[in-house]
Amino acid sequence: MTQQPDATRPPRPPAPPQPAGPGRTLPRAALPAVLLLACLAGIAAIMAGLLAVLSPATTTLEPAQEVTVVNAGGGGHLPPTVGPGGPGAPLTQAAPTAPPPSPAALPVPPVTTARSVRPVRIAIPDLGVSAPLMRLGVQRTGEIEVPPLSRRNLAGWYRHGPVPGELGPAVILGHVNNRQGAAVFARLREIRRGQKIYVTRSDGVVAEFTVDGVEQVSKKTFPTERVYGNTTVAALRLITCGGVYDRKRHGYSDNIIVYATLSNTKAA
Amino acid sequence: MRWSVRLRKIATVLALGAGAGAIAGLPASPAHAEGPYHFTCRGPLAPGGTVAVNISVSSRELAVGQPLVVQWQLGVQSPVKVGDPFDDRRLDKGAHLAVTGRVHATGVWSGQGTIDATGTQFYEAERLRQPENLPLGAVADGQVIASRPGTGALRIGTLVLDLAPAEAVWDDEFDTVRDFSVGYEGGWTRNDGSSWPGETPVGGSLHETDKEGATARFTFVGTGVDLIGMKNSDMSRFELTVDDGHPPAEYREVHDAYWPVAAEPRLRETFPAIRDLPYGKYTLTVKNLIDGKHARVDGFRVHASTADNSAASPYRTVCRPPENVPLIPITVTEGGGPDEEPGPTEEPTGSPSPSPTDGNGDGDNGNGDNGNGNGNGNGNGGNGNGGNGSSATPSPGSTPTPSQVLVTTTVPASPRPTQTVTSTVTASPQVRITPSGAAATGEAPVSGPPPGALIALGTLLLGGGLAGGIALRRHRAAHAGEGPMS
Repeated sequence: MTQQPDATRPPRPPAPPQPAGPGRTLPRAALPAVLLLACLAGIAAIMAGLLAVLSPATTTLEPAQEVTVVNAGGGGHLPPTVGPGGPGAPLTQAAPTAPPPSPAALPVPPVTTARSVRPVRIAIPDLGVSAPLMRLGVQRTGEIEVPPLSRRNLAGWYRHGPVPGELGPAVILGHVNNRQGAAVFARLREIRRGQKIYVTRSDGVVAEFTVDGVEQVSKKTFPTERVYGNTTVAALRLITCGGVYDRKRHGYSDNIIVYATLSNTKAA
Repeated sequence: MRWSVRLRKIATVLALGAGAGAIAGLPASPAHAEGPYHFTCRGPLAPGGTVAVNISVSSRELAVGQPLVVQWQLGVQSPVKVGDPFDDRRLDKGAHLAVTGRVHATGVWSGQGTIDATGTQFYEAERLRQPENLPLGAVADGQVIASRPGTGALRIGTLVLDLAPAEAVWDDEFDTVRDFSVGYEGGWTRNDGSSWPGETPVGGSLHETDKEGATARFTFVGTGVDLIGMKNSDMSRFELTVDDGHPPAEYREVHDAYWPVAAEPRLRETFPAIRDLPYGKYTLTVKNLIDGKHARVDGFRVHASTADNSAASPYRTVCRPPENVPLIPITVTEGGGPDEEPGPTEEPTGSPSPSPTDGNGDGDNGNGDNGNGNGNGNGNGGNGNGGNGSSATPSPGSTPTPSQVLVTTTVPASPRPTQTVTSTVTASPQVRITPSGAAATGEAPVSGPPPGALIALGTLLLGGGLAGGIALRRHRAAHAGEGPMS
């Protein structure tokens, strides 16, 4: 509605356009448009919600361009050994009974390790990884703990296993991403046989591991024995997530597992 | 209490060992108790100056691959307590007591190394302030696996005690004590806060600067830290960094200390930096980012959710064994029998003085040096070559005992393809607790609202829009014949 000029008052110069806000006429005039917009926004929100419900609730991790990733959890013929990773080598899951991959470099004897020693930092120069380490245990469910999701550049050492450099399979976990983006092990899928991993320990020893192989496994068929089983050398396992993200289950379908063997030690 | 359980275990071990000597040929001879030794202590946790210690080894005769367990038991009568617990406000939230007992091993464990027995116990403030001694009990046992046959010896080393308060406030200036220190660079001055109304600074003064790039560094031992500063109208942005000396920094964040009400400065303001770090030594750096605007440091709050002896707390106490402690001789035999030749024959490289023949009961020498370990590091004397001599293969006739297996691994991809590495694998699992299933190491990169909420919101908006439209039309229809109001 518009107001009629009052004949009893002297004519006023034409008013400049009123800014939005203080006048009462603009909101009333804009009300139909606001209502229409609300209806349209409501329809859009309902459509988006329906799409989210009906579409597959997964998010696929973008693999590096040169790496072919195969989710091998579906069964079929599985290779008898863990693959080497790298360009052109699919990260298939090895057969459940397959042993860990053979060492890529000459293993060196385990390091004498006192009980109080712990790993404090991991570095993978080829992937640009350099991160502190926290200690991890097991949850009440029996699953392995993971570092807090809020800290992207933090990995965790499984404290119920060997210290890196000790005899046996030391295990280090890191997130592939969090809600803010890439996390410490975001590029772990790119690692390949022969590359180096350095773990600095609290006693000043830097344990150098050489990557033996890498595989992407379905979480449903996690190779527990291959990862946590006894070894004859000082070994290292790096674990992160891979595959597709299932929003309903709040997790990724697969794990990326890197197998490495102690190949050198030096003082920090 | 956890240590009580360990006390019972040790009592069992000691009972097994009572009256039984070392019997050659047995794969696992009974435990041997040593002591009590009266260690001489220096530090605030041992006001009496001595503690009594019992040390037991699982066996003096063992086979290759068999673990040697060294257990420490601290005498109940040992006067371990905090010196001035009532004056020490840093103990108000309790503290973690950490203990490490060190034994030096020579001969058959990677040439030379150390065996550390460790333990940590939390005490509430009330218990710390009771006059009774702190019940240390027993610490977790140290363990090493004998990797080759021969003779060796154990030399009892130091006992290190540390106390890490769960939450402790440090003033902006103090004398360096152990691994705690503070320093300022780039033009800082002291301010006693007398010009500000209300609250006073911690300790009666604080440090301030208005120079861009001026830094304050606080080095501490713990698992987290906060800055205690203030907010005022003459203050602006500053950066907090926490690092352990190895880049990248654990924490880096810019804070803003601007407070618009000039008449009401806010003192003793907490700026949280980081929590839940692995226990260790870190440095908190405060850096002023705006020239002409102030940054102020009033104090620091250090958190510790656990403790160990990897870094020195202000309460660091080191106890040394008496001069006349004899070496403990250890003999390691092949698992299969006495007639077999030992496989690896090379001396471990890098071993400074293996002297395997000196440790066999020669208790009157070699024990003068009992002070080379102050607990400030974790000794790693050997370079890990023992027992895994290169170019060595196990004796063909060796028969592993049930408790251990000898394995030879051929390395096909090595530069020296004929080389083999011999390792000893014990039958016990190397991963003590095997987790079940996989690891949940990822999160959705983007998180939208749940679909149900979207549909509900859409329905609400659509319903509201339609209802509003209908109401508007009715309103207009009802007033269709009326003229505009003046």
